[in-house]
Amino acid sequence: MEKVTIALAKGRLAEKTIALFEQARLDVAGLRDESRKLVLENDMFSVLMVKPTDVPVYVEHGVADLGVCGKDTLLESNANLYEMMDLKFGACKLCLAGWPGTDPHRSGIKVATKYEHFARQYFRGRGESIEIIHLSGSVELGPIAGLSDIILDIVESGRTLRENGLTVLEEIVPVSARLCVNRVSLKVKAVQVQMILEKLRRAMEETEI
Amino acid sequence: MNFKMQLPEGVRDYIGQEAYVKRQAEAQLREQFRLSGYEEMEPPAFEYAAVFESEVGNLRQENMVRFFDSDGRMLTLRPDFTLPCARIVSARAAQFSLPARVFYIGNAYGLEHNAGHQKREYTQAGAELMGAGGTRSDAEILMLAAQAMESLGLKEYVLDIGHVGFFFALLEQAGLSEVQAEQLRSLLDEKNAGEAKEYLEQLGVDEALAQQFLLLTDAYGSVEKVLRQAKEGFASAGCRKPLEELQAICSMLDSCGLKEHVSLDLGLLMNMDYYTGVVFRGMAPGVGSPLLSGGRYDKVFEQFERPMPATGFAMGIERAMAALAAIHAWPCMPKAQIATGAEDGAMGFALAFAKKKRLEGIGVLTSDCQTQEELRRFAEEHGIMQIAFFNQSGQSIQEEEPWKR
Repeated sequence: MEKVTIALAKGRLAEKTIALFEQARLDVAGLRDESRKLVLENDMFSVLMVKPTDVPVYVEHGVADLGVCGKDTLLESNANLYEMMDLKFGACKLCLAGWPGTDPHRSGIKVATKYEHFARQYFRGRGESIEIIHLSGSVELGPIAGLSDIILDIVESGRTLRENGLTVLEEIVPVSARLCVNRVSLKVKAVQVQMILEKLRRAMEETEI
Repeated sequence: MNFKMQLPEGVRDYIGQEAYVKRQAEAQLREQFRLSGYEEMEPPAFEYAAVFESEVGNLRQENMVRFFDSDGRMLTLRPDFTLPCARIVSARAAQFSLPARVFYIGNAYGLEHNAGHQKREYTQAGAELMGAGGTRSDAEILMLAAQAMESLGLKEYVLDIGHVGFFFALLEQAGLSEVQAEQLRSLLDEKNAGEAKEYLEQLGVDEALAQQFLLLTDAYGSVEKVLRQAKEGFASAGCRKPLEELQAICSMLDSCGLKEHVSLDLGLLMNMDYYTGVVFRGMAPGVGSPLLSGGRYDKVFEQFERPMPATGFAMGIERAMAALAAIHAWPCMPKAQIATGAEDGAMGFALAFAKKKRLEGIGVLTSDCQTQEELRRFAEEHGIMQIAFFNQSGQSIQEEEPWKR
């Protein structure tokens, strides 16, 4: 049977995904490779180790049949694919954060964020016009260095914010790891993909019990 | 920046081998449509913007390429062929006895704002069966879509079929606002059962009805499985007709041997403002997006003042080419069979020979070569297997690969 290609974000999400696959009794032999290899293979899967924001790109183009990435990545990319399972791990929240006491909806506010499209959509949806400053990382520096008034970023424990004197001003939406599927793969590789989805669903149910 | 040497975003050149493959695909489709009793239609590349004004299907106003006529009226480069075909069939009522069977092959235009891999100029080949309602015409169009894919050389493909009637029937009972319905549609279309369930709870939709909505995310797969799920899962009266239609269509397709290619998906909820019944997509391995999409669109003709049911589909030629590339089935551009050369003063003989052969259907390349040796080398470089060298008295020396030494 044809292999199924999966795009995984290097790091914690990949580890947790492989662990879930193992629990689901899917073949994970050779997929826990510590080397710099970008493609890991076994009889059933071909795993592409990609940058988190790139997972939807590989899946949308069909080069990967499946992908696992955070809901935040999916919200930002707006890729055209099936979002079929909430894998629950990697839980955090997309929030507005800044100096305590800041009004995040003040007119003309400057928002630093990695999530340019999501931020624009969010504020436009509220009828607010703001200035978005796109940063690639360490977004908390925005208000600290005076580059922006607030930030729109994912918050897990809140420790980074606290240690830098910042606080969550508003929670927008919860985020967790999602399994996304290429629209053609679900139909053209129906048997393989269905089997994987079934096994994952069962494994998820077992964890809940 | 030297703009004379560049292309704008979203457009490309087709050169040599690629252009050949594209034209071959177009020719095969044209032939198949003609053999099926469809007549070609070629609307102009641009029309009055009014033709495309109703935001139907994929066509968002902000994505259309528009410009102004000299009299100040707005014109649009066609983003679609179905609306122009509808305009023509409506305007020339006397010429078209219904149902009208038409096809088109040509370029359409749109400005894609996503970072996606879409183009601003794309080639579509499609067919429309206008003025016929009923499952027989649905089956005819579906069959034509399968035929189109097979004629290109695709042996493995999936014809994925759905029906928007189920979703519409459930919506009628749910009493949602337009915005809410669209949000629900989007979640169901993504097969995001988890978030759809939460949203339905948030909206306070009745449990039994919510279950039926969620069934749309799971009712995909083999014909038997999905029809069974639909029969058992949809209590709403409004779901009976779509189910009957699907059953009738599937049984027709089954008897024409398409069983291994057909799958159903009741969660195919694309372009809900446009489609009114059966919807479908054609897919092939190796291409991440569908090759073709279509369905029944019984309301479109209302805006052209000649209300009638209609169904059809459009195939993206670029995607079809990608599907062929994925199975290494690109036809090879044929080379000329003969290369000619001529010594000083003999070019006229070479040209005359070439013309005669070409009109007989034999490919001849007239080279600049002035010696036989040069001509042999030229032919080798170009992969041509025969040469004909002309001397001043008009006689020719003809050789075939391997050349006599």
